[in-house]
Amino acid sequence: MPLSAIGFSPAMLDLILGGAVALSLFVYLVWALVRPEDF
Amino acid sequence: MTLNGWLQISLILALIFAAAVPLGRYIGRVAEGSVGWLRPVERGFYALAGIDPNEQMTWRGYAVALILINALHFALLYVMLRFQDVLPLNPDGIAGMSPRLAFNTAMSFVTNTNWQAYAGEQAASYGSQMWGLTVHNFLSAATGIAAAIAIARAFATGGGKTLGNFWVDLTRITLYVLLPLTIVVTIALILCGVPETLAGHVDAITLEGAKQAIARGPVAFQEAIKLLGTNGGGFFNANSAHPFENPSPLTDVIETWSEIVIPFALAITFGSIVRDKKQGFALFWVMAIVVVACVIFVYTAEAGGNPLLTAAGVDPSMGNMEGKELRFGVPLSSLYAVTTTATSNGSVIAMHDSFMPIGGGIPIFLIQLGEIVPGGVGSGLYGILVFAILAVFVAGLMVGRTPEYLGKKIQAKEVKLAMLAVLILPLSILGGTAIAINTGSGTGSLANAGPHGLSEMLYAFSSATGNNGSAFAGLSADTPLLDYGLGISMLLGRFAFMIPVLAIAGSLVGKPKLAMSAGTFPTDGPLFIGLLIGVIIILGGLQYMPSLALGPLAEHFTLAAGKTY
Amino acid sequence: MLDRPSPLSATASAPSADAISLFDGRIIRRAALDSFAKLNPRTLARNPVIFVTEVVAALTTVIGIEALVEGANWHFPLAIALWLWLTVLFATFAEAVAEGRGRARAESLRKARSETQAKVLIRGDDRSLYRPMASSLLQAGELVLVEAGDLIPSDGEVIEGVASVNESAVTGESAPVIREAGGDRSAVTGGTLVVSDWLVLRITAAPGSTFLDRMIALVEGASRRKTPNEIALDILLAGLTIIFLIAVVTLVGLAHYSGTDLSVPVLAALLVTLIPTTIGGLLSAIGIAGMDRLVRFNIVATSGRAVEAAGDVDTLLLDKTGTITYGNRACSALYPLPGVAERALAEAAALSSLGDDTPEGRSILSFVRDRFGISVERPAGATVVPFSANTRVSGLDADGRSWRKGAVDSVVKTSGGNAPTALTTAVDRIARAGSTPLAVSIDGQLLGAIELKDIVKPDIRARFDMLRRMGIRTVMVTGDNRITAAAIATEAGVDDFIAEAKPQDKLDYIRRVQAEGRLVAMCGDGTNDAPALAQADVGVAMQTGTQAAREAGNMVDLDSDPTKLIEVVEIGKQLLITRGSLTTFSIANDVSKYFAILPAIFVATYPELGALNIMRLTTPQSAILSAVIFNALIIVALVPLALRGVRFKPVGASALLRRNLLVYGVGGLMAPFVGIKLIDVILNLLGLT
Repeated sequence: MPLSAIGFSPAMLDLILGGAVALSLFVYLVWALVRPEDF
Repeated sequence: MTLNGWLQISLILALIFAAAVPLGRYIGRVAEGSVGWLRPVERGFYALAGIDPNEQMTWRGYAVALILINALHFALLYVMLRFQDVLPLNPDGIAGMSPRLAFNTAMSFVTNTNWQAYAGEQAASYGSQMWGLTVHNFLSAATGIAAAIAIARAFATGGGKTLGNFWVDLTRITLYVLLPLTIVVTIALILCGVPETLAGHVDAITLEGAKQAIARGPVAFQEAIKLLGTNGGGFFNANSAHPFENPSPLTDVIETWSEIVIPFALAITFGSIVRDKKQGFALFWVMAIVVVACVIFVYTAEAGGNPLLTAAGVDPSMGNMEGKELRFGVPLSSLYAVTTTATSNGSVIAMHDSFMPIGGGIPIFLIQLGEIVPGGVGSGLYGILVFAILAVFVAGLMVGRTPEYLGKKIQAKEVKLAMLAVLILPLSILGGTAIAINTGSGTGSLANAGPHGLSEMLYAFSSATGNNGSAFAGLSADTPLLDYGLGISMLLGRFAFMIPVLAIAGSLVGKPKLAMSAGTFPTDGPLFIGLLIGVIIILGGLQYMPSLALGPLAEHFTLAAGKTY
Repeated sequence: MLDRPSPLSATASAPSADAISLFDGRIIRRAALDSFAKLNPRTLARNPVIFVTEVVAALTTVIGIEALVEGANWHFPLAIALWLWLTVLFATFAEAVAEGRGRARAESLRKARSETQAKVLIRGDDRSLYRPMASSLLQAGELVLVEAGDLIPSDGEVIEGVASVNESAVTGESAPVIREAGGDRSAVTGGTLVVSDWLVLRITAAPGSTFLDRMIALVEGASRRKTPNEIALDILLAGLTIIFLIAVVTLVGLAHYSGTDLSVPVLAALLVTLIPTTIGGLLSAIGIAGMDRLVRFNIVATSGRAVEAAGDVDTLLLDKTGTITYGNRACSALYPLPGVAERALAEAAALSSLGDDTPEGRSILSFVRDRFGISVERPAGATVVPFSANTRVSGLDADGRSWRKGAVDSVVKTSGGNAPTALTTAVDRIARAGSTPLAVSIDGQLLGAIELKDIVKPDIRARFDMLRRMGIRTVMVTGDNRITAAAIATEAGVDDFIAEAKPQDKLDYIRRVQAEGRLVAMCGDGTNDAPALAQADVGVAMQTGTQAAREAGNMVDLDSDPTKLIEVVEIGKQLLITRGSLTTFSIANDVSKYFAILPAIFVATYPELGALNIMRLTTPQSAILSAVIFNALIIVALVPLALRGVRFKPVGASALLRRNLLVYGVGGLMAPFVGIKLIDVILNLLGLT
């Protein structure tokens, strides 16, 4: 069953996707910030 | 705006700047240990606590000691507030606090925030105020100053390992700086009519014949340290607007002076610890310029009055008087709004909620900058040093050398720790606001709709994260969401910032102190002052532009267009 | 492709003529292709800002395509996506161009590394018994014979023989140099040509790690590691990116409360324009280009770290001879004793120098000729008395007469042992001026003294003044005595000097000033310089030096010109300045982006916020698109600056900072307002909004 069928608008789905991407970017960036040395 | 208003503001600022310089030098001597007129008392404390005052601590040791005592005191204060109903010194029979309110309040006082989600006179007993809150007004202030002194020492010499002894610093700052100043200010306030009594409330019959209980208590002493320690937690709910806390324009001068003099002085202290006075003055000027500019903005905004009221026929000559005390008027209220938010004090003599959008937006922005110009006692200095490190790093490369600040190379480790510290602020402020404002509980706490409602929530999370403690008073803060949410923000804003700073100190202290030359980036001239202001505003403030655009700025422009919410 | 012909054609190098055109067609075409290959997220993840841009570009593309499929408005999301991809491509292109330029330089080096057959000795003491082996297989420690006409197969140390070697393949200098066992001329470089005689070498480099291999790897950027300042800057940029990520993500919540639901493409545009893409995109290009500039000056650094350290240096240790003064002393004055005619002294000095073929001796002859018009002829039957370390005197014997010149005390000794007061006075005066006195006698009778003066290079004083303004102290190192050294130091304008310097003194001096918190650069060539080269923060070894010196230093100067230490420092500084300036520019750009995008995205909820649209951008969509386009184009626009480097002026730090803050700080604040407005106007003219 597509997610839109359970009440999410396409814009909402985009935002959820964007949120997931943003969260992974956040994790990646924190790693890039605290990594010990050159990588 | 009136000439008289500008004169009032200028006079008070002049008193502050003039006193900050000698006071800063004195604190520098205290930090060095060359002030010792209470040495026997000091030794008594060390003996009592089993502390070796000659032990030197690494940054880790220093941080552990600092966190230990603050954690312990958080626990003690929590228990004290929960059970104040059965503890002594409670003549008015005030009930114990709920767990969430006790958590919020204990966190608030341990972090030097003094956010009060309760009305002081109704929810805190005399005992809680004196043994709980006032003690923390000293402890949290001394903790901040100690951390600032520790990082200043890291710049002073090359190739060291240790930053001093936290217990000794804490004791000396309390004994030689905070206590004497508090006593002097207390006496001055008592002389000007501020009460200091352990007797319960007074029952009075009003003119209408109604019975009224007038709260009073040991106000003057708590008032003095509330200001000197940039704490801000009032004895009364109305805080320094209350006639028993701040009865007259004269006490207001004393209070405005008290709340900002130590943060300014500590910039000078920095200069004496690193043995380069001009470096301290450079930071001093950065702080002074921002404060003066903000006063001009706020006073201009407030003195203009509300255009909608003017259109409705209200005389605008007094300016925007909503939420302000007649005995202070617009100039003193505007100045105080800036000094209390430029420092992490957070006490108020007027309701920021009722300021014009720009007049209330500037305080939010000052808090969001991270409480560094001049900021809280100690926390302001170490905060501005973090930005100085970033400024030196970015601009220092432009002179063609590995950036160095006061002869210490600024490298990956320092940049990393500085960024970690700086990151905490938007994460807590914007993250907290964005979440809270979209929950039913969050919007339920708001007193206003539209952009002003957003400003209320933004102010609350800015204030908690910046350890300021003031609020847009419309917000109902004693809800589970805000008690816990803001409590966590206070914790992050205080310790998640302070620990990286101590780690920076630990990293810097071991580095050699490089000699200055004509090729060294000068950090004591007008160029650096301008640069640091720019970096603070661009790196420390720009990320809040969208939130400010949706809050105060939107309100400002819609108000100008005649729209209200 | 290269302005400079291959080094093998043995043309002397001239650094300034060595530049590769910024817009060399072949490099640009190859770079354009490479920039796509560099989109690989795995390699791009090393660059946080650009990696984030790529991920966001991909996300926007997905959403644009989704809109296309669903028949929604797809123009705007796909336009944003396109420009986000271009932003990433421009960044990878910048790096590819920088690498391409390095590769072009490496190609010419690689020609020298052609495969040769090495003659590996089977028994170390027998030169007639060897077996052939491919040079690429040579192991360190093997003994190899090279004869006239052979290419030296790999880096090595001469253990037997003397030969002249043409090293133009690495130095560009065509005159052959002498290589011999022992002493300071024993190191040879693979790829160079033995012109005469033969050598037995012990190979010192493992396969694939010869000097030439390392040089190629460095200029190609293959072995490039991030330098300390680069790592720190990367961390700063990652931190800034996090801050703006937080600001943009939370804006969704704040906007939702305010009644605006933001779409992902708009958020993507806001994020990418705020994060420091300009410096993020140009950072590695700046580093590669800095290394390239050094190589253009015929200096090879062992790491980018060394180049950066050069910018930090604040004390330069310079050898007097060859750097501050011309190598040789020259006669500059004559001091006759009372009762001796100056011409008589001149003639005697000339005659005594007839057999002296040293530069000092020749300078006496030319001084006498120029000043007095005396050209002496060699008397028939004359015998030359050569200089010996024992007598410290040289001269000429003819017709029963003897002319002598030499060290003052030696000449005095042969003349009866008593120095007249007039001579002592003259000698003192000469020594105080930093010159060397020689005494002259005829038949054991003292005539007077000759002053041999160190000639300070004419332009050197101005350069030291310039260095002083940059905050760099110069220290002269000399074997002369204190008095002589002090006089020359004053004349040349150095800040300090080490007299009667032994290698240990250099080392001690470096350690002492390092303990004071200074960073030291020096150059050296001899094996006994190696400890000091290693101790110095920047040690530039001369290509003509020993293997030990070359290993100890962190740079090698192929021209063996010690004055180039000054250029090395400037290149190091320029590298850091370029990075700092572009970082400042990038961060200052942000202010304008808020003014472009914020009113655009909130115009529906709060039309009054249009007051913030101070650029008067036409529509919300064109405002956002213009900001994104500006953000992408500025990377390309700054590629030439990144490759060339920000102009470095030898002025003090304050003046430098003021200038760069004005240009890149204030300029960075203003430029995008103009740029974004311009792009908005063009978009509208083209009807693209």
